[in-house]
Amino acid sequence: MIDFRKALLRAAPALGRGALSFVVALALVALLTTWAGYDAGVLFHTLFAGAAGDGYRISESLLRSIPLVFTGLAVVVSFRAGLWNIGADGQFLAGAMAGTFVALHWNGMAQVLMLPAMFVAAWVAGAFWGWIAVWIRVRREVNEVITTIMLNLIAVQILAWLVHGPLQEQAGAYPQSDAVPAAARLPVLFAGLRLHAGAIIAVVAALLLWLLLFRFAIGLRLRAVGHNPRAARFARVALERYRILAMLLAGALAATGGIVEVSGVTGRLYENLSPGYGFTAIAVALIARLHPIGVLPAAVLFGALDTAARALERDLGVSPVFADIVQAQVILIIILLETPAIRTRLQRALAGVQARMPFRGGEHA
Amino acid sequence: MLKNRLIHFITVAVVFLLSCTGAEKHSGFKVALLSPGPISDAGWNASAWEGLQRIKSELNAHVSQVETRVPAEFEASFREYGRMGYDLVFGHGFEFQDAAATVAQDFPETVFITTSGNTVRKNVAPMVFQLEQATYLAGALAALMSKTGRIGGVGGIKIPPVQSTFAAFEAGARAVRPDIKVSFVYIGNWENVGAARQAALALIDQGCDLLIHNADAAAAGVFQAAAERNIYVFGTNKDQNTIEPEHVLASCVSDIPGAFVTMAKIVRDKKFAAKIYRLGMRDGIVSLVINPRLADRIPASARERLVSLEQRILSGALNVPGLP
Amino acid sequence: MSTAISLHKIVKNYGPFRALDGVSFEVHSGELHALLGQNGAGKSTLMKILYGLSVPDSGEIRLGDAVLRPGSTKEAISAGLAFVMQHFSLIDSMSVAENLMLGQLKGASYSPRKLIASMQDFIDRNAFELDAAAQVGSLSVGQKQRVEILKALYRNARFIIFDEPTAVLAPHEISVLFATLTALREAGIGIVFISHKLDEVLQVSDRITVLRDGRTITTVNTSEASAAQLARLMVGHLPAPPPARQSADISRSTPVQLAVRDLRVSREDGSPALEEISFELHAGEILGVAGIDGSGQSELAAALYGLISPEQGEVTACVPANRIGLIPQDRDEDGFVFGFSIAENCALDELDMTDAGDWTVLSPQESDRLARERIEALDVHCRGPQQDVAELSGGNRQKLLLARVLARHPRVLIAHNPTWGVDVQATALIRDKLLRQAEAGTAVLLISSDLDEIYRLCDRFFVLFRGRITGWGDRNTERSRVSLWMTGKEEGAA
Repeated sequence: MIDFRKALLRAAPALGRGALSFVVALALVALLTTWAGYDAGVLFHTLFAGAAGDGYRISESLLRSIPLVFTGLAVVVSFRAGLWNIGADGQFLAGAMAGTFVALHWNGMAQVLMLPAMFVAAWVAGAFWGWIAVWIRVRREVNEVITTIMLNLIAVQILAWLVHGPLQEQAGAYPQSDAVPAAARLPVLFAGLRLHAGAIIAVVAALLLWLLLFRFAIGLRLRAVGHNPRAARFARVALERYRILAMLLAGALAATGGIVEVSGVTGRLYENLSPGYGFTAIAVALIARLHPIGVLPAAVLFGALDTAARALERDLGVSPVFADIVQAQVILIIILLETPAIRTRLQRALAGVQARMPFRGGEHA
Repeated sequence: MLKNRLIHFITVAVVFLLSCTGAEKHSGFKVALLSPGPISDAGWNASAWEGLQRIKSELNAHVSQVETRVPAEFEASFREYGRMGYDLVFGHGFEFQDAAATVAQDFPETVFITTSGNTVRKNVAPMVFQLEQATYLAGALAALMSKTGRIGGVGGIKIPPVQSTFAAFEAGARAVRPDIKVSFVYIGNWENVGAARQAALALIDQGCDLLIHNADAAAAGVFQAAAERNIYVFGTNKDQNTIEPEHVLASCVSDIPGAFVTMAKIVRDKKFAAKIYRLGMRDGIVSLVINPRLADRIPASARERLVSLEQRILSGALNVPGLP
Repeated sequence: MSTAISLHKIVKNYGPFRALDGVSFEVHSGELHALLGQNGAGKSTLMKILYGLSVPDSGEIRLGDAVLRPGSTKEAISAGLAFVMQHFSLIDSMSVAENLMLGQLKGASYSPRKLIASMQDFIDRNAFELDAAAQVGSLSVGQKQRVEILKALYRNARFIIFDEPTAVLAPHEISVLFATLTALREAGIGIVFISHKLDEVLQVSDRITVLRDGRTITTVNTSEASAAQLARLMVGHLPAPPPARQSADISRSTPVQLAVRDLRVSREDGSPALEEISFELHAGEILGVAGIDGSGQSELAAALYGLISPEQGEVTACVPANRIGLIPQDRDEDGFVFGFSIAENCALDELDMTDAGDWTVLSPQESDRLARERIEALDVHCRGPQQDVAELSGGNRQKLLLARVLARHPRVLIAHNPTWGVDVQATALIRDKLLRQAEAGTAVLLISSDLDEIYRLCDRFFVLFRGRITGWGDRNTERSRVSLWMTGKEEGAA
């Protein structure tokens, strides 16, 4: 437990900076919204109440962040290995499709078998989708940015084909799959709220990825490959092996997000299952400074902004476009405040304040 | 302990803020809309928005709208409106059915209506448009006007609601001219104007001299092709007679805004029943609107044939094939 | 009348390390002045100061009699200076003409056709063979270098500094470059030619200034210089140190740890990096590899360590792979993961050393303890195991790297320029450690371009020149002979 407190202390500056960025972001948003003719007070109230006004809304905000946690973790692990994986979206869809296929095909299975089978199917599909990109990179030296983007498009098209064709609902009326059986649904955590067991899986996934990256040899080697492949080679780390591993892992993580979304929320496949989670995930991962645990608050921020934006539309009649602008502003400002140049300046300013305080913490400089 | 106090403080603060600005009190009829896309799309979503605005002015209702882009948001938005005591919530698309059915159990006082779909609950119903009645008439008119004996249609994505309008078009044509040849092409999306134009030109090259479309925004390509080759086409979903005034002979119109108002009136008057609401010609929602500038090009005999078919549909004597 | 641009008593320190110690240098217009010295002698630092990229701690830069403001590239350029660096500052996606024009453009628009025509005219007038419309990305390295020279000329440069211009060129391109340099000199342009290659310097220059350890050793007229004399000046000729080791022929009686037979290694472009290399490394000896930098030393280290596979011949190690230690020359790129802590860097080779599997648990306490051991073993100055290695000074990084390699308890230790760019104390410490390793029975291969170091530490050595062994010697071999081997004059083994 002492360890936990120490970890908290170590994380304190990052948390403080995060909070500061958020406050600055909101102040700037207030300025812009007032200029746009909205009452900033009412707007903020709606934003906060919409995202966290009561248990239900908190549950919804968390619910919206779950797919972002998984795709965000996928981006973290691949970026850590020096691979620019833009394909979390495709991997997400691959997982959703494979998992749903299993659930619909063996719809008589008991829940204890059904859920594991769906997840395994999703992992295999997602890992395969990630593997294609890294395999082409390793064998043919084709930049993974291009291949992962292409694989996203392919996944979207396969999904469209599935819901118009082989997996279309029996009734045949609409481009969607049949609903997966009840055994294939993740249980909700609190009666009356939609927040489902996927939230726990997301937290566990983040913790496991943190352990893997920072407490096991595999993680150290993977990060070394990403940070400085030349030095990794001199430490006799097999570069390709860890690049492939990273993409398999990234694919499986994003795919988990896909099957969790189907199993926990939608219950079916639709064409627009992902509004681009894989891309938002890049912003999530970067705000989290590529730290698995940091992905959790970053994803929640994005999820909360999403529910808050809907509240702006619903309660204030704000155009969804403007709601999107507010959302984007917050993100942009936070990223801006996290850029190294501005961060060092901020830190210097903070250090100046600290120096003038009677008690100075931290180690000697 | 400190944490508990913090949570307590936050709760108090939130409640205080809520009561300060307070939800405005709406005593009247409250109607909400969930649109699957931007209401500025000048199409599917825009017509729903227009319906909502008409409900606001004609029924003096309080209205609200959200754009829900992902399935995860459907249920949340339905629930929010249920909690806020809305009387009627529209989900503008078949994809809203599951979410409506789930949420409806918890809000028996609220009626949920989806545009198309087939899920019915105590307080959930879909409204479907019998656009097939209009395309049937368009098919008949096309067959009567065709010189080549060949007509066709350009579809967006091959889904049942599109297929059924085309099936009715073909049935209408065969009803007046059994030897007519009818062909349809699907371009696989709703946006690609260029592909729609190519598809239309291909049909024209095969000898088709009247075309119908059901391709949403991509239909602009069909109109272009018609203008280039100087043939007649039919508009669908809304009145498109003015787009190419010399070439759009008539439009198969579903008055979506009108349907919204119709449904809102039913709910307001407490006449809602759990069933699929089929809105067609008899409700004044679906019609074939002839382009007034081209009306004189239609021979009197054809016009008579059309009027008699329309009468039979209105009286219920003729059941248009392919209807949901 | 010939003008001159000159540097007077330049001093430049990097922390405790004095990179330049009162260096003076001048170049006249119409003169090709070579600046000769080993890596780390201070050549590039000096020229960066001349060009205003770096600010000296003291000293003056003059154009004729006018004093230029130090650290101002703008003033240097307006004084007519241009700098052709090893890494070109060209935009690959643009045409040659556009690259020439960049930075000179007046107004907001230009006509590409007219631009290409006028630039082609300019190129032809200067007798360069280049197509103004060609995309720079499609050019060879030599052609790109010519674009850089043209850029300088287009800006009316009167003095051009070339930083190791031949390092990136193929042999036939080198002769083209030399013809160009001669023509430029004839046109009255003053040229500074930075190099560590003796033969090239002797071939093209008018005067040669030798720099060693941040000091001007001498300036001579090329016509009066000889290769052997320059080599001695370059590598230094301190009095032979007292033999540090008595057991000079220990090598004959101890087992062979590493055997190299007829090794041949090629570079990426297919040119040979190493040819016909054969030697045996015995336990307990220090075998030196001398030679001018770039004679194949890096490839030799990589091949012995198993990072590149030989094209021909074989390397036989009689010890397990994880008991071979390597101190790479480029310690920052190859030795450390910047952004990782000291502890993480240490853990990385601890894992290699113990052949640990991927699922080995890393305990932070254990990593810290290991890191502390390394830090204490070589007295690395740092804040603690969690400090980012990027924050350490060069000398401390080198000590840490050595500590990490020693922690492997290597039975073969390959050290490539281990004291390069390191301060005096760290140098002494590192040399001491190498000696102790050998005494403890480790087979040490010391690759060094510092001949003093070779003489001081090695039991025997060979000299590499253009990837071949040109001679074998030991402490008693005369340095003049070694200097000849270093310039390619082959001779039998001593």
